[in-house]
Amino acid sequence: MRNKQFTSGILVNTVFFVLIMIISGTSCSHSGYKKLEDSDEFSISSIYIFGEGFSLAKYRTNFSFYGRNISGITLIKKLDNSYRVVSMSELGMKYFDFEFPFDENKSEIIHYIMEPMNKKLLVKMLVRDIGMLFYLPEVNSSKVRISDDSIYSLKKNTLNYLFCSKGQVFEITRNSRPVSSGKVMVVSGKAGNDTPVSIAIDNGKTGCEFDLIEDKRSNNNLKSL
Amino acid sequence: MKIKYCLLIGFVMLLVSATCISQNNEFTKPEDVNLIRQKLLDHARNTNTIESKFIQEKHLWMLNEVIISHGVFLFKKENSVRWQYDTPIDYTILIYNGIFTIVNNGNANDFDIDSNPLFQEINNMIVTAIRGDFLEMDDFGSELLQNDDYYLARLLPEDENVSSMLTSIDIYFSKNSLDVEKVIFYEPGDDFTSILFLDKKVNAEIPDTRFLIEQNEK
Repeated sequence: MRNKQFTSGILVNTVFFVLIMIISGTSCSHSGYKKLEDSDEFSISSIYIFGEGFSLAKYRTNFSFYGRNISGITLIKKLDNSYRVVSMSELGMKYFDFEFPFDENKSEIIHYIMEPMNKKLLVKMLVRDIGMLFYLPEVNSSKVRISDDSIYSLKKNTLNYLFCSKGQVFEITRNSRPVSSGKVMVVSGKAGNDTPVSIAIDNGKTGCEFDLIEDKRSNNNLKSL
Repeated sequence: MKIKYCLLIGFVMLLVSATCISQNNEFTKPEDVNLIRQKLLDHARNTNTIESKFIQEKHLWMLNEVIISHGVFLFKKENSVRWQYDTPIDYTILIYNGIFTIVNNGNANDFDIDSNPLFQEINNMIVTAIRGDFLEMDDFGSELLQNDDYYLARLLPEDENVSSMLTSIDIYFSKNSLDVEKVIFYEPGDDFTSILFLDKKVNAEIPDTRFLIEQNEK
């Protein structure tokens, strides 16, 4: 009975999540945007998810891999030349430890991945999806579009970035052709804050959800540690 | 399947911790290993309930960070368990009457132990551990050491899948009480997780309802 409820719960959650993805994907699709005009004030030189002042954050985490779900805690730390992302179970067992150099030309480093997760395709998707948090396109104002409610849009390759007037990215959509399937990253945070409060990534096969527990830089404890 | 393996390893970590400090005074091999083992076995057999707080510290060496969790652990013979994290996140594992329940952020999922080989294995481990047979666990080699204050049971994984995730499990028993006071799980790459048990009550009355989902968890 409980298992049925569990399955139903997952189904409901999945449907709910996909609906949100589709709705957010539709509402923020590129079509509602127009090119910047001379009258539009635009002074954003770079866009970000983790701001300049970001130092370290701990997130409650849920991963789904091909229908399987695991949960735990993820720590994201800004080092001198890179970001380090370590995920582990509630019991302390490490799932993976990735490093993303600031220099996009350098390769990501997989310091550790738990053997059962060490599948080429899975690792590739995880590194790519989490890397999207740190590798954002340079801003070229001629390619920036704006919506009626002053949301900016910037397209690079198959990815479309939506950001606010401070340059903080809150959504990334992948436009896969021939099907535009709403594979997106949704980031929420307080405008101007250097650390996102929540992040949801769904590429259709794997998904990650991060909910902020603690942000060391701003000492913004949402829940005491 | 392999993810299940990880769950199993995670639970080994939990279980060994639960039913069982680190000082650097030197540990040596005792001469009377069988006698000590028997003392630990006898103590475990006379333990009907355990109630304890715990502090879990995840040490990430390269990041110079420690993630600290606090929670409560309950055990009642034969194999009822409550392992509850209160901070930094709400997460509880319950084992009661053949049902394994995970309550994650208020969402409860039940698993029938008999219908699932993973949970059957966990159940077997509980029984083994509660009997005090730490040194006889399948897939682990073991050695027993001691210093002035503690007996140290060191478990060394023999299975390749396990050893890729854990290099050893150190269980510290107080020489005075014979209770487990601390467990450390060492991982490849110098990271480790320690679990320290505090305010431990042994053989106090624990109602069965404590092993069910509490109202505020529904």
